[in-house]
Amino acid sequence: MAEQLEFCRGGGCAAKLGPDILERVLSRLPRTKQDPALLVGFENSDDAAVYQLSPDLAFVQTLDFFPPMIDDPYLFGQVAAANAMSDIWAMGGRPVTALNIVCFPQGWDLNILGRMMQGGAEKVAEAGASLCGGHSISDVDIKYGLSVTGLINPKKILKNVGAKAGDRLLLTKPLGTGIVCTAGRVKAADPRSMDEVIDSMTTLNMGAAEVLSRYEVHACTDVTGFSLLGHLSEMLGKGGLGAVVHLGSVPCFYHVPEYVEDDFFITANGQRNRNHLGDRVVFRKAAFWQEELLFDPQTSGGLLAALPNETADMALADIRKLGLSGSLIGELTDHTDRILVME
Amino acid sequence: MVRLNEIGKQCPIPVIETKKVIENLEEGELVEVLVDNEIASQNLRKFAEQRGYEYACELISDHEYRVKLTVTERAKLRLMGGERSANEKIREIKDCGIPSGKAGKKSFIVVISSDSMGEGEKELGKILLKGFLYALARKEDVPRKVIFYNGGAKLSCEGSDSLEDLLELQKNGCEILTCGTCLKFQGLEDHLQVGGVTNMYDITEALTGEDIVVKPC
Repeated sequence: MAEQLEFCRGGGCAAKLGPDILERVLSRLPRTKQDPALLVGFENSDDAAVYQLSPDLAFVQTLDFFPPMIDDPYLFGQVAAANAMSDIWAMGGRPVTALNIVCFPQGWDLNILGRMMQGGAEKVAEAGASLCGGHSISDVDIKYGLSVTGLINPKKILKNVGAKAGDRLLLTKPLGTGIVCTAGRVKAADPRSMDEVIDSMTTLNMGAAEVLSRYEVHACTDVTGFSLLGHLSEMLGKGGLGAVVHLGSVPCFYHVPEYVEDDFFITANGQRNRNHLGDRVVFRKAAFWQEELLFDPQTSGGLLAALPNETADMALADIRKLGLSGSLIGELTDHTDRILVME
Repeated sequence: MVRLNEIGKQCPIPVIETKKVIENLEEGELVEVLVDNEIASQNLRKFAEQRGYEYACELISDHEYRVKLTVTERAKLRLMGGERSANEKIREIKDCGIPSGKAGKKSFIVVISSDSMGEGEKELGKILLKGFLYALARKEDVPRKVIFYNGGAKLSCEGSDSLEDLLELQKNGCEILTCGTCLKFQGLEDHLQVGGVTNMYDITEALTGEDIVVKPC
C-alpha cells in the first residue's frame, strides 16, 4: 500500500509545464531553414508534426509522457498510451508504430513496471498499432509515455487552426479529469467519479476520429493539459476569431461541482491556465466550479472539433452511437477575439 | 493567529490545510500561510473570495509568499449556516447574479468618456478630471475597473497628466482598460501607457453587470 501511495503524486497532463514558460522558450529557439516536406511544425502549437513522403502519404509524429495521476499502474499505463496516441487522431492520422518512454526508480518492485507497460501495450494493440521498442532510465519518480508515429493523407490533415465563424464546437469527452484525480490524490474521491474518469481517460479517441473523418472538419485538436479554454484559444488563433461556450452543454464527471465548491480540489496548472488566458475569456454568470472546470488540465481528454453548422448535429449523433458522451458545447464567432462563456 | 508552513507542498494541499484550520476560527482571527509560489497564493485568494475571508499577500522573497486570511463576519455566518452544497450555491448564482467580491461593500467601476469633467470651461473640466483621478487613486476602496473611451482614451496615453494616478490604481488591483476603437480612431494605438485594451463587447458587459457604475459628469 505504501508503494501504491507513492506511485501517484499528482501527474498526468496536470504536470505539464505552463504555457507561458513554454512559449517563452520556444520563441527563442533558432529557426532552421524550413524543409518543404514538413507540413506541420510547432508554429501553431499543433498536436503533432507532419512530414510528407509522397503526394498521398505523410507521417505524423508525436511524443507524450507524464507521472501517474492514478494509483493503479496497469490503468495508468492504459491512460498514458491512450493519451499519447490521441495526438495522431487529433491530426486526422492513424497510429502505426509506438515506442515506450519509461522513467522508473531503481530498486522498486518490477511488477509495477510490468503492469504499467502491459496496460500501455494493450492500448497500442487496441489501436491496431505495433509497439516496437523503447527507452528506459532510472529516475526518482515514475514517468511513462510513448512516442507514436502515424500515417496520414496530406490532403486530409486536421490542424488546430482553420475554424470559421459559424462553426459549431464538438467535444467528445466530459471535462474534470484534473479535479477528480486531485480528489483521488488526497484520498477523497467518490468511487463513482473515479470510475467515470478512468473509463474516460482509457477510452481511445480512435472512434471519435473515425466519425470525424467522414465529415468536413475545419479544425481539430485534443483537450489536454492547457484545458478546454486553452486549447480552444489556440484554435481561435490570432486572426480575431471568437467563440461562445454554453455552460449548460459542457459535460463533466460525477461530483465535480462539489469537489470544487466544497473541497477546493483545484490544481496549480488550472490556475496557470487561467493566468495564461487572462481577459481572452469572459465569463457571464458562471459559477466558480464551472470556471475551474473549463480551466482544468485534462489527461487523455476528448477531441475538440469545429464543424460546419449544417453537419454538426449529424456528427454528434454518430459519436453518441459509439457510446461516447459527445456534446456540442458552443460555436465560433466573428471579430471578437474573445471566448464568451455563458448560460 | 495560526501559522501554517506550506512551503514545498503542491496545490491544492495549502488550500485544503488552510481550509481545515480557518473553519474553526472566530471572527477577526487570522491564518498566516507561507507558500513558495505565486500560483499557490492565487489559489488561496480564490478560496478566500469564494468563502468571504479577507485576503492579503506579501512577497517576502522569490520563493516565499506570506498570505493572510482573516475571518470576517460574513464568512463566519455562512459557516454557521452550515456548509451549503454546490448545487445550492449554483441556484443562488442563477437567482441573483455573481455575488460581489468583498463582504458588505458593493464593488464599483468607473467610466471616463471624456478628457474633461463637468460642463463649462473645457480647461477647467480637464483640471477637475485630473483632480478626480488623483482623489480616486487615494481612496480606500479601489474600483474594480476604470474604463476609458471616446475623449477619455487620451487619459491613459502618453502626454496625460494622470498616468501616475492610473499606475497607482493599477498597483492596488484596479484594472485599467481603454477602448481599442477609440485609440485607433484618434491615432493613439501606439501611445497607450497604462493598462490594457478593451472592446465594446466587454464595455457593455461591464456597464450592464452587477457592479455600480460611476461616471464623473
